[in-house]
Amino acid sequence: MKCLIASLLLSLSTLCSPVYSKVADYNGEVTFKSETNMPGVNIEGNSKVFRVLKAEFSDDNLSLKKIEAEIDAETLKTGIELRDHHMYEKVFYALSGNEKPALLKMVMDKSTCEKNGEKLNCSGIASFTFGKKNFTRKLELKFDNKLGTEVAFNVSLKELALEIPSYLGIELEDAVSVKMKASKR
Amino acid sequence: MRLLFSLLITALICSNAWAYPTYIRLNYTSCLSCHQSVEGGGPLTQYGKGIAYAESFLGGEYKPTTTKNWLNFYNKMEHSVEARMMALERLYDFNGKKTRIFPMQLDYTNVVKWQSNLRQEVTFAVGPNTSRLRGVDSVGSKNSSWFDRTYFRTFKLDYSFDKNLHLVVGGANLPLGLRLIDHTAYVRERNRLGVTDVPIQVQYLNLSKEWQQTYLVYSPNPTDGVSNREYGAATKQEYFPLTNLSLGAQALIAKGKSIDREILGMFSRFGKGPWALLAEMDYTKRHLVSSDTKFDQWTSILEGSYFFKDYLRSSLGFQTLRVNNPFKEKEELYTFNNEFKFSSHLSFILEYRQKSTDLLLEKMIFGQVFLNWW
Repeated sequence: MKCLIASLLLSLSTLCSPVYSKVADYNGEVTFKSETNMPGVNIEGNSKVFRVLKAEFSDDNLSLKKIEAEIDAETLKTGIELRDHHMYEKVFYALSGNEKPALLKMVMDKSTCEKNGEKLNCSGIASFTFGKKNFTRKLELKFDNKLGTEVAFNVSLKELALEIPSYLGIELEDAVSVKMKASKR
Repeated sequence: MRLLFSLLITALICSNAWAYPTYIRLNYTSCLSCHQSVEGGGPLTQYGKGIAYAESFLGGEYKPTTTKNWLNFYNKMEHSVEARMMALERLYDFNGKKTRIFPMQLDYTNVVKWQSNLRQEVTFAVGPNTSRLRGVDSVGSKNSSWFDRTYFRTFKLDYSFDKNLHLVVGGANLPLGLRLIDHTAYVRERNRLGVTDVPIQVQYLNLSKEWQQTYLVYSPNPTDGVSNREYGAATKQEYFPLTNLSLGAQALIAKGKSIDREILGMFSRFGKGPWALLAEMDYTKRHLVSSDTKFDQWTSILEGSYFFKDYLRSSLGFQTLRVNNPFKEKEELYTFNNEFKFSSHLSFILEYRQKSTDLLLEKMIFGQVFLNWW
């Protein structure tokens, strides 16, 4: 009987809790895009192994207390194996000090949120750790019951003290736009 | 067996540098990264050579040569040779002969970079000798000498004002529509004389992240027969709303010695992951000057490709040709094409074709071996 009541209470609490607070319910994808010195040549890649480790909301669900996410850089693919190999070598191993491929981590523990119907729009300063480098970005996260959450920001290669990657005359632009998307399973 | 043997022999003696419109699936909207020619096709850039290695079965890293000698005019000149061997098997008996095996193409291309923004390209081509072909189409044809079969496929100067603006002057195929390798595609009927249609052009190209615009005027090639001479103007506009989608339109207006013509067309390229889709539709109106007869036709192509690996592609294609005036005619062509890029220099294509008209159903298998040396 105790078990039954406990189960009932648990299922009721699940029903009442907002769906965007359930971390395990999210599947993530990261895409990135960079232009080059040549018109018509764009380097784009993605990874579907994007982990949302923690997403804590306030009890009234009106603010985001903390969100943590990470991605193994080696799961990022551009569509050409040789290009992936160059990217790991010139960017991700360089960022990790050639010990192991870099891990990109994002933590945002302070934010202000606004509820708009079923959506919750939060903004705050996120800290990123990419291998041995750190940087911060002001981010705007939009949580949606149906679509999950999405966030976009730019990374400067120079800011990460990286040499701009080039290959046989085609050179990347400094800015790399990154989009992280976590959608409901 | 004979077909297989011929393909193998060709593979051993002889590499491919045509433009791949399907590379939009890898976010390459412009041909200019891989090809030296702003219109695509022909000699590869250093980066293009790197991609040719990366996208082949053998793979590997391309190492640019830095040798300076008289052969490469102290690093200002490049040479390349393209050869194509074709085997064609008709799946029905005609005159007792079903198979043709023949050298389809042999091009020598010479590129000289006079300055960093001034480039000269000359391609000297030898066409196939139809009299020596073993097959149906050889019946009754006359022998032709090597000299008779040679022509300049390209001779042009490309001046770039900056990386976006180019002025091209010289002879080449009209750079319209999808840059398909198959010159027998119905949409390529705009090249009236097939691969030998090399009008003298002045082209102005404006490339940007979102647009590729081509404007050109042309006059006949001095080697054209009097009745084939044509003067014209054309434009091609290609817009990229996304880095993996292009939407294009083109128009041509021409006055000929015997035929005037106008073409309006649209085309699109799309790619995502291992998928690529190409589509083009053209409307052509012709006016036969001598008899005041008007011709009116539609041509189209739709081709979907799937890349099992970067070096292994299968595609299904559907082409149509519809003539409305002065008589009704309909042709449809279904293709199943498989391409294998063995190395940066050697590629194979095996294609099944089924063509149907109101009166005829024709089935064929093509085997092609491409060899590039650069």
